[in-house]
Amino acid sequence: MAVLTEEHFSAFQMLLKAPSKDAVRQLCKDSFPSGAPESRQLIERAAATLSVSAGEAQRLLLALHTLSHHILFHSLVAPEQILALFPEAFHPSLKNLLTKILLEQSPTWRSEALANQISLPRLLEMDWRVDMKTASDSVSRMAVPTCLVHMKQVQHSQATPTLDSLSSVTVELSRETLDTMLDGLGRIRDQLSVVAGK
Amino acid sequence: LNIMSLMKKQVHYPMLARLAVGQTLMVNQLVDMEWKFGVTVGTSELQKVGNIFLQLKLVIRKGNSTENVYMELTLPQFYNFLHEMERAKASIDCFS
Repeated sequence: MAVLTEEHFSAFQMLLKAPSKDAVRQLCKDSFPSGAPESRQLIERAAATLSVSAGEAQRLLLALHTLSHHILFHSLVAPEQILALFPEAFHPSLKNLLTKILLEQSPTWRSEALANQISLPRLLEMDWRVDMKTASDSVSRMAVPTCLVHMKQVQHSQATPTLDSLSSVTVELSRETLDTMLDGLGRIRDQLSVVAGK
Repeated sequence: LNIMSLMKKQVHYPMLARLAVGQTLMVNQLVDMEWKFGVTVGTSELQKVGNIFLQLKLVIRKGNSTENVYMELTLPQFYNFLHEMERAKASIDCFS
């Protein structure tokens, strides 16, 4: 995680050339995702909006990215905490505007970070169906109920954020297996309520 | 002697039937389920977190070998899963 330096704050001066407060807000939002400071498209757009060179625009995006991630990591939720990050001589209205925008965006960014954290494949959807087996090659007449459960999972990839890999599995359970599974799930629920009660 | 052989048939038939049904094809049969749950304390993006997660490992029989399927559930997803499985059990119990 990059450390906030004087250089980052001097890059913010470029925002004084922004055409509107919304343009600043948009830049803050666009610079947040990982990989944003390297995006050619984004650099060109920022350079055009602020009438600066591509190199300067990239410096700014990197600075915004570092600042927003620093605030998110340390969970800085009070305006004073964010204002304290800026150097003494920093432009006061720009400082207030940035603080306001970053505070506004923090809850969204926090839920995004939580949703995208590394984890095992996450359950997306789950369906079930109960069938009645009436015949097979070993028994010509029977009436055996069986349960089929279909689960869809998604694995988020940090490297390619737009390509989440979906997988699915269908599982067959006999009555006994379903009972045993429910036993296990019931135990989990009991343990969860103990933890929640503490 | 006739009565004895009749009784033997009556004793063994249900067991034989059960064995035959047990050999009936099952696709991706669930063989075992393991689980653990814990709390996420921090991540590279967020220094302090406090989310409960539940991880399930399902062991599935595919042909002659088994395959492990791992997944993570949030708490609401777990309660939904439990609820759906209870509904499935109620449905399957209708047929007993």
